[in-house]
Amino acid sequence: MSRLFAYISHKGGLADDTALELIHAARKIDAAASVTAVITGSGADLDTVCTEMAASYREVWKIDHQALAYPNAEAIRKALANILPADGIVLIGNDTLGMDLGPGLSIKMDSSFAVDVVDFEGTDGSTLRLVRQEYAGQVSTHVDCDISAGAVITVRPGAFRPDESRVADGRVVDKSGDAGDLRVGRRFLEIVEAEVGDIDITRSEVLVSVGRGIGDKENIEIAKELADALGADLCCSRPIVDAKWLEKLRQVGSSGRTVKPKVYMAMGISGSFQHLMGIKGSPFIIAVNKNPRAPVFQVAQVGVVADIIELMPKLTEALRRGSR
Amino acid sequence: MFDKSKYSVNQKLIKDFVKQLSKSCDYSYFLENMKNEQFSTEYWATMGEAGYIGIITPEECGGAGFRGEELAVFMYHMARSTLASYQLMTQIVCCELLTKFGTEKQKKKFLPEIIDGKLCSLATSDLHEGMNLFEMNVTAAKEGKTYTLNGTKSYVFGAKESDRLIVAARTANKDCEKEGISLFILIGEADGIELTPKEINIRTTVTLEPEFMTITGDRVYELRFTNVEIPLESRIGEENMGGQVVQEAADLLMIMMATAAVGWGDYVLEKAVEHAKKRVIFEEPIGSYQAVQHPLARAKTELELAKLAVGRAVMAYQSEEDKEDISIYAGIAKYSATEASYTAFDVSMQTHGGYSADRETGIITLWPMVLLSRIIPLNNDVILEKYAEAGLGLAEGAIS
Amino acid sequence: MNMEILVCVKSVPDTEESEIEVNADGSDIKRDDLVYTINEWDNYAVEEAVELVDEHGGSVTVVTVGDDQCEEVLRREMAMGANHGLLLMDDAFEGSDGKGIANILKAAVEKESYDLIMTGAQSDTGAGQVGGMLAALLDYPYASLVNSIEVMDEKKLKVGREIEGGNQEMNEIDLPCVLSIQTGINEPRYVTIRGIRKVSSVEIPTLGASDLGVSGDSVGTGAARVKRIDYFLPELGKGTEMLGGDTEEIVEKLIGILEAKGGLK
Repeated sequence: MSRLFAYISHKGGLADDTALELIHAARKIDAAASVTAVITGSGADLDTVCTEMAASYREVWKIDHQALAYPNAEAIRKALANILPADGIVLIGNDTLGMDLGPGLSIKMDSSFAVDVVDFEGTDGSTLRLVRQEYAGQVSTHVDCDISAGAVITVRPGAFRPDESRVADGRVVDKSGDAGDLRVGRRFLEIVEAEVGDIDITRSEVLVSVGRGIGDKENIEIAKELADALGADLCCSRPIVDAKWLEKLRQVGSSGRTVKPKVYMAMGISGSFQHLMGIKGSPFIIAVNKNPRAPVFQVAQVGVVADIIELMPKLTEALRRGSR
Repeated sequence: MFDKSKYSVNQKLIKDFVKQLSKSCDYSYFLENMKNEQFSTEYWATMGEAGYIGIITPEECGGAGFRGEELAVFMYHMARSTLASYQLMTQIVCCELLTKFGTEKQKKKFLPEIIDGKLCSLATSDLHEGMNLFEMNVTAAKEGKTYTLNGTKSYVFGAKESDRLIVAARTANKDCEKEGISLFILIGEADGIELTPKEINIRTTVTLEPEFMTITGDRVYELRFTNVEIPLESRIGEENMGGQVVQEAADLLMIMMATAAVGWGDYVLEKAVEHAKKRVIFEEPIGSYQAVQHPLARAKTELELAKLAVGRAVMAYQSEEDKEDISIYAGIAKYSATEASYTAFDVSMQTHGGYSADRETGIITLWPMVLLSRIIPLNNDVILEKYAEAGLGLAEGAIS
Repeated sequence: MNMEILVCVKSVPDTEESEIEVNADGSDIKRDDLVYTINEWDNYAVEEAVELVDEHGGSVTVVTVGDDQCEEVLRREMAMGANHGLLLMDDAFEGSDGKGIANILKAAVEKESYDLIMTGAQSDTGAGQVGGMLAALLDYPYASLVNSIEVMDEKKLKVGREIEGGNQEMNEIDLPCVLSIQTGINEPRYVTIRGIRKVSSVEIPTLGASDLGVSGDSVGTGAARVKRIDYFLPELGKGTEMLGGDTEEIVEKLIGILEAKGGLK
C-alpha cells in the first residue's frame, strides 16, 4: 500500500476540524498504515500547528514558504506535487480549499481523484472502494478507485469522527527546501469579510430555518410567525438567499454563518452537506420535509414527513394557545 | 401540445421561459399587487423584453414567427402557472390584426412597440345586447380627412393602462350586419374618450374590499366615445372590411382562452388532488373516499376531452384551414374548455372545503377569470347557437 | 478588448420536475421519465460570460460532452445569448471519469484560442472536479467557487472566491485561466422568444474523438481510474425518530419535544 498523507488546513495557528478526522479516514483505508500529516504555511502559525499535529500524527511534514503564508491553492498544489511521492494517497478535507486544490493536484501527481468521500469500504489489491453521494445527498454510490498510481481524495468534513487521542508523539520533518519555484498565475489580494449586521444568528439558541420547501416568498411569513411563537430566530439555507428572499446574514452553511443552537428546526430543508456544515455543536435537530428521502433525515434527531406550509401554522397556533 | 414529453426543442425552451418567469412573478407577487392595486410592472417589462407578445408575429414584422402550436404551449403553461392574463391575449390579437390588415407604415410603427411591451387595448365587440359580434353602436363617420367616433364599448381590458387602442366601428350600414365595419388604431388619450372603470366585484365572505378583476391585474373598462376625431391614417386595412376581421380576432382570442382554460383547469385540479391526498379528517385522507374521487376524475376527464378540441382548433388555425371551419373549431374548443375549466374549479373548491375561501390557497383569486371565460368574447350559449346554425344547419333564430 | 470565452456545460436531470430514484438492481438511477435541463451552476456561468462579452466584446461558446439529447442545453444557452455551440460526442467517450472528460475538453480548447474558460462550481454528481483538472492539464491558473469577476486588463482578472463564513477571498488571476462559477453570482436572464427563433435554425457542430485528436487511452471506460459501481439509498440516521399520526398529534408531540429540549422560551 502506498504511503498515506493527510493535508492539514489551518488558520491563525489552529488546525481545522478535519485535521483529526483524516486520521480515522486514513485508518479506514488501511488500518495498519501510519499517516503523514502535510502542512503548508509560513512562520509562527505554521510552527504552532505542526507541533500540535505532532501529538496526533507520527510524522509531520512542514513546508514553510513565503508564497504559502496565505493558503493559495495554486501555490500549495505546486509545492505538494514537488514534494509528495507520486504514488502517495493524499487525503484532503473537502472544504473550499480542498475543492480548489484537489482536482488539479490529482492531475499533477498523475493520480486518481475521488471527491467528497463519506466512507471507505476496504481495498482489494490496488482498488479502493469508497462511498460518496450524488444528487445533493439523495442517493449514495459505491465507487472503485484505482490507487496503483496513487490517489488524491477529498473527504467530507464531519463524515469521520476526529481522533482526539493525541498519543502519537510524532516528529516534525522540515521539507521546505523541496518546495521548488512557487510562482503561480494567481495571487491572493485580500479577504473581504462578510457583512456584520443587526442580525447575528451565530448566537441564537433556537433557530427556525427555512429551505426551498417554503415555496414562495410570501410563505416566509409563516416561518417568521413560528419563530416568534418560539422566541427563536429565523435563518435559512442558500437557495433562499440566492432568490433574495432573506438576507445573506441569515444563511446557514459553509458559505454563510456557522451556528451552534440548542435546537435547530429544519423546515423544508433538504440537508445538503454545505448547509449542514454550518451547524456545529450537535444541536437537537427537528426536520420537516415533504420528501421522505431528504438527506436531512440522516442527521436529524426527530423527523416529520409533512408539508411545512400546513404544519407550521398549526404548530404556531398550538404554541400560542398553550402559552397562557 | 399538452404532453411535454413530446415537445420539440423550441417548445421546451418556451416552457422553460414560463417556468423561469413563474419564479420571479410568482403567486405571491400577483397577490401583493392585487392587494395594493398595483400594476404588474415587472411582469409586463419581462414580457416585453423577452418578446413573447410577438410569438406568432412574422419575423419580418419584428416577431418570432412561431405558429399556433407554440402559441398554445406558451399560453397553456402560462395559465398553468397562473400567469395568463386577458390583457396578454388581447395584445397578441392586436399584433395579429396589425400583421394581417395593417399598412406597412402601421406595422412598422405599432408592432415593434407592442411587442416590446407597450400596452394596446382591444375594443371590438360591443357586448351590451345580444352578444352578437357584429352589433356595434360605435360609429365612425367620415368627414374629409378624419373619422369621428361615437358610441360606447363595454368590457375593454386595460384601457386605462394602455396608450394604444384598436377599435372596431361601423362605417356603413346599420344594425347587426356583418358588412360595414372598419378597424382603427388610436394613440393616447384622444380628445373625447371617457373611461369608466368597470370593476367586477366577486365578493367573497373573507374579503370585503372589491377585488381586482383578475389575479393577473386585468381590469375592465367601459369606453365612451363622444365626437372623437381621428385621422384617416388611423384606419387599419380597407374601409368596410367587414365583420370577418372581427370574427378572426374573436377566433384567435377564443383559441387562446381555450388553451388558458385547460391550463387553469389542470392547475386547480392538481392542487385539489394534492390536498385530497393530505387532508385527513376521519383517519384516512379524504382522497380515498369515492365521493371525493369521482368528481375529481370526472372533471379531469372533461379537461382531457377539451384538450382534444383545443388541439384540433389550434391545428386548424395553424394550417390555415377554411376560415369558417376555424371559427367552428375555435367555438367548440372555447365552449368545451371553459365549461370543463368551470367544472374543475367547482370541484377543486369543493375538495378544498373551507380552505378554498382563503386567497393564499390560490384558487378563489382565479375565479373571476374562469367565470368570465364562459362569457367573453362570445357567451357559450351563443356559441351553441352559432353551431346549430352553421354546423348543423338548423333554422336561424330558433325560439328559445 | 474582446474576450473569447468557452463555457463547459452539462445536461443534468431536472430535480424540480423529476424524482431521483434508484432502479431495481442498483446499477443506475431510473432514467426513463427523467426531464433534463441545464446544470444550474453552468447557467450562471453562461450568464456571466454573456455579460462579460456584452461589456468587453468577443464571443461565448458553450460546449458539452454528451449525446444528441444534450444538444438541447446548448440551444438553450445559445438562445440565452451564447454565440456558438459545440457538441463533443463519440462512443469512445462513454464511461469517462472526470479526468477523461477533462481530456476531451482540453482537446476542444486546443483547437481554438480562448481567453477564459468557465465551468459551473459543481453538477449533479457533486464532484466539481472537471474545471480544476482542465486547468491543470492546460497549465492555466484556476480559481473555484468564483462569485465575482472584474476585468483588469487583457492580461488579468480580479476574482472573488466564496470561502467559509460568508467571506470572500479576492485574487488576481492571469489570463488565460479557468474559473468555476458559484450560484448567485448574477441573475440569469430569460430566454427570449427571439433567441429561441434565432437558434432554431442553427446547426450545432459535432466533434468526435478523431476530430479532436483524442486518443482512446485517455478517455472512455478503459482509461477511467474511478468507476461508479452502483447506486443505493442512504440509511436514515440511526437515531432519527420519525413522527407519525395526523397533524394534531404531530403538533402535540413536537411541542412536548421542544419543551424537553429547551426549545421554548
